[in-house]
Amino acid sequence: MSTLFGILSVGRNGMMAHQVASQTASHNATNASSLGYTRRMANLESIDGPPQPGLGSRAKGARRVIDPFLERRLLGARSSAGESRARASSLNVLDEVFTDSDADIGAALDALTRAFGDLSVNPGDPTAREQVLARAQSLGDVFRQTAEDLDGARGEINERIAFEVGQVNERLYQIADLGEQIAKAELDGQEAGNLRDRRDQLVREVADRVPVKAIEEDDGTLNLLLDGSRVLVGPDGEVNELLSALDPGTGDVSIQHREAGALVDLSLAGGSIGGMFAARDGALRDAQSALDQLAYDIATAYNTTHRSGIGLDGLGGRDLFVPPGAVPGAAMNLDLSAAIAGNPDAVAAAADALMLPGDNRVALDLTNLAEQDLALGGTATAVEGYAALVGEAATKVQQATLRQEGADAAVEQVEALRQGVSGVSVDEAMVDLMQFQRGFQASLKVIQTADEMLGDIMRLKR
Amino acid sequence: MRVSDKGTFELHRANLARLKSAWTSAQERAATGRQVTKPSEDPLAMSQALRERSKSARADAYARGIDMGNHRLDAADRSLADVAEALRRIRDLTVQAASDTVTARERADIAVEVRSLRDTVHSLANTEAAGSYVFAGYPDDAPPFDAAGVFGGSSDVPELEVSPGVRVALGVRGDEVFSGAGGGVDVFASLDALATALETDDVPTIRASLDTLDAAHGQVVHARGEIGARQNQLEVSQSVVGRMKDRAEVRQSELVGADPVDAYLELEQAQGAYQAAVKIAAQLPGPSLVNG
Repeated sequence: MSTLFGILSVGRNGMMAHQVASQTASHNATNASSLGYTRRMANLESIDGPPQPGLGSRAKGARRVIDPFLERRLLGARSSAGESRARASSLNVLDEVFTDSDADIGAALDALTRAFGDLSVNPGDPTAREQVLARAQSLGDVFRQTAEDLDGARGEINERIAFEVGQVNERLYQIADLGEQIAKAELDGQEAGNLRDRRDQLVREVADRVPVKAIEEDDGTLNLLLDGSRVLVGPDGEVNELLSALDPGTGDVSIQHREAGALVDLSLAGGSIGGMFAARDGALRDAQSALDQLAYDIATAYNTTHRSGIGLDGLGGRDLFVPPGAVPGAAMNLDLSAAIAGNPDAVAAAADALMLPGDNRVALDLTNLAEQDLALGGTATAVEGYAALVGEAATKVQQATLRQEGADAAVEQVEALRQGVSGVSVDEAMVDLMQFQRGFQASLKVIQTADEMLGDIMRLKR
Repeated sequence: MRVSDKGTFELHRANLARLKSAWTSAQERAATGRQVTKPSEDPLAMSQALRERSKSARADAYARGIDMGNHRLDAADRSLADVAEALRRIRDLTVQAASDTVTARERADIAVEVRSLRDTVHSLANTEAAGSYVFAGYPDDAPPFDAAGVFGGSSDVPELEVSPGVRVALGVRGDEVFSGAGGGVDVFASLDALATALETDDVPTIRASLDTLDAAHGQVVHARGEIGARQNQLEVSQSVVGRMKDRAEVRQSELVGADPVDAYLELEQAQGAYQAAVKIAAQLPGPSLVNG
């Protein structure tokens, strides 16, 4: 049974529905640049009768326009971009440390060889001897400096990992918190769009750091899984946070996770934290060990030859460098031996104590060490060994940079696809706004018309 | 496909960042004249360039050594030339003294001159160059020949490495040239014997010493020949290491150097690309319902 008052209700309902819809379109237009914003679509539906034929339209909240598969791809892409970006930026130090300069290890080796060459021409000359000491000292210095730079980079990565773990945990609690709020807000069946946008953004930010998978429950709560299996945020909002542990021996940070009450060491293959691990335990460690090995080989070879020689004081058997105890740390500890430091006469140029000072045979041998295959297990000269080390480190930096470019492009692509679905087009929002304005105007007209009809009926009685 | 505003702006932002980065590195290449400024840009070239740089440094060091070696060989050669000259003069005097027309008194006068020439040879044998006695062998901080002309040095000649694996002796053995080691003539003993014979008017000994003098002279001339050969070796090595340095430098610039023309063109291109992108970005957001 239809009444004129029913038409008035239709107009009122339509007016209210289009007001909501206009607000949704305006919300979209003004959030075009908001971080993590997903465009909304007003849910306008007709209010069916009875009374027939129906009571107009109503807005049932606003739905977020989202493609769950794209969202999942985006998480994966951001994890691998986070990984390769962190790896590349952690390895940049190798580029800086190994850029050629007049003061790099290769140049220091050449300078030492030149000093030995001068000594072989003037074995009795105090200046030539001072030069040998100075050059050997600076070779030690530049090795130490390089080792310190690499060590500093390692320390920085460790601090960074601990910091990023904190960032992840902070977000885990926020995600759990938002899950609860969303479940409460959506009890009436309407989507809590802003809360969901914020939670999705937080999940993406976690994915930048560690590889995660987000599984949504029907009630709106979220399971956040690390590496596909370890629970970071559970369905009832409990958080199982990441723990960082410091190895006091090496100064290295590792990441742990509590599993059934026990702590488990994690190795992550994605996200910026995974990338930093990869850089630290891969290219950086390789460069450090190669540098140590080179320092060890150089110290050992020069010591052996130098010990066979005799100084101006007629004594022999002295090391040039402090003999390295082990390969690890050899670069950091490369220094003039105590017997030589400050004692130019102890530099051994001669092979025979009776042939001083013109005997230059050991000085020639020391000069010739530059031509000897003493590095890389006896397959390369010292300078070649250094060049190989630089080449290897640089190759890894190059690979990391290329991978970063690829991963960034992949994120850009998925992000573009996501923007195609969920991003705001201002023009589109404006068209929507006009459309809803029309609807609003139409509803007003309906009210006006119903009013006129009522008036007409009133006039009948007069 | 739907195009969102954020997506459009982000696309342009990423594009501008990329082009600007390319432009900056093109500028760096053109300004530094180096194609490879960071090892990771071309690891292989950088690694090889480090080796070439070392080769060039080694070549420099060899060239320095060769200069110093030349100095020493020149000193030895000059003193041996003077010794040969003195020995010839002594021989002339001996021929004169061997004549029957010369009186004992005149022979005594010749003896004085021979003794003085012998002292000249003695001091030449103790020649010093750059602080070391060139005929002393290894213990080169003291004169190798004592007042009596007895050799106190070592039977060695210090060597110099002139190019990888090639060593050249810097002089000749003093005991061979002056003391007759290895089957030659002891120059000082012969000269002393000659002077004594002149003083004692011992004509047969004077005549006999002519052969000895010839042998001594031959010994010195032979030593000069050896030194000459070593000087030649140094000269050859000089050009060998010169070429080694040239090659290393050419190779180094091939590996990491930038061709100026290429670098400039690349810079122009990168700048043009960036400018075009800036122009396009400046037209954003373009026609829209909002400003229509």
